[in-house]
Formats: sequence, structure tokens, C-alpha cells
Amino acid sequence: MTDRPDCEEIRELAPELALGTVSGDERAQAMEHLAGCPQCRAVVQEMSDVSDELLLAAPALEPPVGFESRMMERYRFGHRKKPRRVAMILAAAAVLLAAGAGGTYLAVRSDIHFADHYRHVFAAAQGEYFASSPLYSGDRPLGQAFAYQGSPSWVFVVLDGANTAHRYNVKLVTRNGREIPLGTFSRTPGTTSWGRALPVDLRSVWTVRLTPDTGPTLEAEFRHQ
Amino acid sequence: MGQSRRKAQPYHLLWSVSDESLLAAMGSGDSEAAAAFLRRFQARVFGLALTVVRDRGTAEEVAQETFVRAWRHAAAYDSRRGRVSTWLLSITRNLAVDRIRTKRAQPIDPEVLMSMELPSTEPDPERAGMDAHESVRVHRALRTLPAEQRQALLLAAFYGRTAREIAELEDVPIGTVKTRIRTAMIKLRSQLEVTDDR
Repeated sequence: MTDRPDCEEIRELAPELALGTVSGDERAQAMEHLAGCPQCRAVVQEMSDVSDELLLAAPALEPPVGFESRMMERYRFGHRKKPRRVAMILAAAAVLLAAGAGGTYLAVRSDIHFADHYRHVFAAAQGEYFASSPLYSGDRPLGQAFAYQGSPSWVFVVLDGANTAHRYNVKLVTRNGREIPLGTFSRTPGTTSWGRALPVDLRSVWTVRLTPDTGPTLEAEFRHQ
Repeated sequence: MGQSRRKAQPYHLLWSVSDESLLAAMGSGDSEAAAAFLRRFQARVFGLALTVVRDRGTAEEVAQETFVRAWRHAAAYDSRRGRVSTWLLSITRNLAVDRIRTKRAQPIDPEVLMSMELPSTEPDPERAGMDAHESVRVHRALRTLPAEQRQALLLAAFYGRTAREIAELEDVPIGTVKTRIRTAMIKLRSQLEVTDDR
């Protein structure tokens, strides 16, 4: 495949893209093409539908005794009240704009300018929204991940001083559980952050996962409407 | 998750609730809905996991992780992108493929998958979300494919094998494998569309 695959190449590759058996650079190049080509997206979607249906051919088999009770225990534990992790940066501006419409224009004028400024920022790169989410190691926040849905979409991670590892492997986990390698970076005394354009739509990303050379994995969850 | 906490429903009534509603209720913390969702889908999820990883302990781990992801991400499920059943199974498949890649396990001959007993043509009411008709329909469509196309397709679809890996396994050129997979997918699309009564 050339650096910039054309529609014919992408359609040849569509079954393997749908099956998730295309790896690395080839997949990233295909995703870049698909982002700007609705016709090819439709072809890949058709193949993905077939790929999904295929899984129904596997037999239904009862899981081991106690599976249900073990799962329900995990479910109840997981649904204890905990703070919402994802903060939408523009939410505050939207609330303030709504207050302005209620007659308190002077009080929120600076915030309206703030929101207006962001509209210009979004217009520059077909942006839709920003999001941020803490990077957790277990229940401990050890940094922050910022993300932008636009063209291109991107993610930027910032680690705090408690992180001691030198090298991090960064992956995305999509809504379908697929893991997409994003790259690696080395942390030096002067470097605590790293960013990269996303090969997929930010809306399909659920988790940004950093696996260090030593120590526990860091994860930031993104959930979108 | 942005959804109001629903009042728990009597257990028996939940079987008539749609997959989508059950998923949404589960995502909002309704443990009755979570139990019903689990019972509706656990055999399919475990069956697929075991088909791929071939070890009951590992298959249970994969099945558990599948359901954890399902309830964590229930709010982000988009019905326009597919049914709950296929969404859930695609999560299972990806997790299972990750496991066999980590352990470098060898996949079973996909013909074994085809020879497994077909599900009953009578849907089990307790698994309404995983309509047995769908499984039978896919099996029948697969049986119409030439063996070499079916083999290549199942190795890719169930075991995440790349065209290059299948070419090495079957000792044929990579171009031949790509053609087999592509031809098989196009035939299946046509078969499944023709018989699609959804």
C-alpha cells in the first residue's frame, strides 16, 4: 500500500479491516482515509456487519457453576457511588451562557466571550468538543488526559511527579474492546507530557491506557453522548 | 451515566424487556436488570470465549471481562451501529483474541467449529436476546462456502489470524488468502441479506 491509499485499495482491504486483522501502520492509514471518505466507510461498515453476524455461529455453552453470582458480586461492587470522572470543559461555559439568557448578561459577559473564543477554536479544525479525564492507577489519580474531537482528533496526556517509570506504551481501547497502539514515549526530567493525533473518532474511544516499563497501568476513561 | 435510576422490576417481567432497555437499565445501576442481562447472554458469551481460547478458566475470565465492559460502557452503546448481541460478542471476540495472542495458543481447526452441534431451531425464551434462529441462519450461510474460503474466514473472524499468518499455516500465497476472505465475506453478505427477515 502507498502512503496514501486510494478508494480501490481501501475497498480491497475492507473485509480484513472489518475483521480487525489489519495491523499497525496499514490500519492507521486506512483509518485516515476512512475519516474523509463516507463511501468507503459505508463499504467497511457493510463488511463489519457481516463480521459481527459471523460470531453468532459460535455455540451457546453454559458457564461454570457460580459464574452468575461472581458476576453479580462484581456488578454490585462496581456500582457503588463514585465521583464522575469525565469533565466536559465546555459544560461550565454552556451553563453560564444559559444564565446570560436569563437577564444577567453583565455578570456573565466575560464567560460569553470565553465561549465565543472557543467557537472560533472549534471552527478552525472542525472541532466538536474537548474532554478531559484523570489518569487513574487503580483508584489513585496520577495525571490527566485531554482529548479533542475534530479533524484531526487528538489526545494529550500529562503525568504528575508521582510517576517514576521512564517509558510508556500508549493504547486506545475502543467501544468494541479493540486495542489500538498509539505510540510510546520516554519520560525525562523535563518531560511530563505527550500527545498524538487519533487514528479513530474520539467518540469511539473509551479508554486511554498507558502501560509503563515498570509499575501499574494508568487509565483514563472517556464516555461520550 | 446520565440515566435516572430505574425502579427494580419483578424478575420474571424482565425477560420481555428488549436487549437495549435491559442494557440501559443495567448501566444505570439496576441490579435486577443486570441479572436478567447476564442470564440472557452468558451462554453465548461463554460459548464464544471457550471456542476461541479453549480453556474453561480463561474463557470465564474473558466472559467476566466482557460483562464488566458492557455495564461500564452501556451508556455509550449506539443501536444504530448494531444489535446488543453482536456488540457484546464482538467485545468477547476481541478480548479472547487478545488472550490467545498473549499465550501464543494455536487455534483449533475451524472445521471443528462447523461440526459443533447447531443450536436448536426453537428459540429458548430465556435467551430471547440471542435468537437461536440467527445462529442457524449464519451456520447455514457458512456451509454454502467452499471449505478453503470458510477455513480462511473463520481463522480470521474467530482467532484474529492475519492473512499472512493464514498463508503460512495453509502454505498458500498471501494473495490467495486475501481473495478467499474477500470472496467469502461478499458471498456471506449476500446470503445473510437475502435471508434477513429483521
